[in-house]
Amino acid sequence: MRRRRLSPSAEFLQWFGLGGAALAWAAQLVIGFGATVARCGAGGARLGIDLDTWELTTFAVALAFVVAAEAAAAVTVARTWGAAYDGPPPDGRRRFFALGALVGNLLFAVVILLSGIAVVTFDPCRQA
Amino acid sequence: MSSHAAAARTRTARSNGWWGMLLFVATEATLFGAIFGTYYYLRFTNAQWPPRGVPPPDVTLPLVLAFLLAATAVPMAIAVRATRDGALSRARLALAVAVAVQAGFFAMQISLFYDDLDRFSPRNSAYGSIYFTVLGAHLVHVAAGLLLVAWLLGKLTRGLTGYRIAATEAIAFYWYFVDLLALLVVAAQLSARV
Repeated sequence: MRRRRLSPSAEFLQWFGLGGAALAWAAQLVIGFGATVARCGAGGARLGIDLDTWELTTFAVALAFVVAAEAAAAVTVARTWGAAYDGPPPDGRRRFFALGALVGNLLFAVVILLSGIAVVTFDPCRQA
Repeated sequence: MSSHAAAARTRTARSNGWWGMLLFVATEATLFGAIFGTYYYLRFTNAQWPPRGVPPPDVTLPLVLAFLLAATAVPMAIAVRATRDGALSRARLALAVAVAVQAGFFAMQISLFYDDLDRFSPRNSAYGSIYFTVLGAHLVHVAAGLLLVAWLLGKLTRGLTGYRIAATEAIAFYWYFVDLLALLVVAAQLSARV
């Protein structure tokens, strides 16, 4: 039996819904870490990096990605309404991923929110 | 061959259970990425590693144990193959071998962990903190894997179903990850000797 292929847009929504928020968090973490090292390191002191602007920008972009990923997951859930989450692929698989993404993306939203608040609240150039 | 095994052999897509395990392992890899990142960050920002007064870790026994644990990937792979072939007794034997070696590894590592606690504390240095965090996190994952394999072995004593074939694939995947971690943990321990 030949497997039914998904349309490119359905496939994109499935994978973006599942991985978009995780990638946004990873990017926020790496960019934030890099900007902090550049700002606080001996070589970066004279570069005039405005850390709060960098952090708030990455925070806003990451949060926008999470909202978009959550929307993509919600659309996928709606489009696979009749399928069971443990059913065969492609619809069962899409629903399974989308339901997992709906919950997981909320966690990523909280993580991004908390780290965004932390980096603008605490002094980045002082070691604990 | 049972109808479940025949269905598993003709299936071209991975089960949702396997994909769920992949996502779970991805989150665990993130956790261990952070832990190993912290270890090597501390390792390379401290001239004295381990600090004075802390003995360097023994590596011979942990190295042997890590390779022994990594070798259990073979019986796990045999178990996966056997369940797909419907060879239930071969699958049970492979899982029994795997669980025996895994339990031996776990018992030895717990003993080494307490020996290390007698020699230095996780409270007195960054080295102690991250050393016990790395070892402890890995041991928790070994314990979880051990319970999963033992649970699977118990399930397979009552026959083969499609659900159990998928569970074998998912648990084996988790175990390969634990094996990889064992090698990374011992590599971190070895790095303190360099």
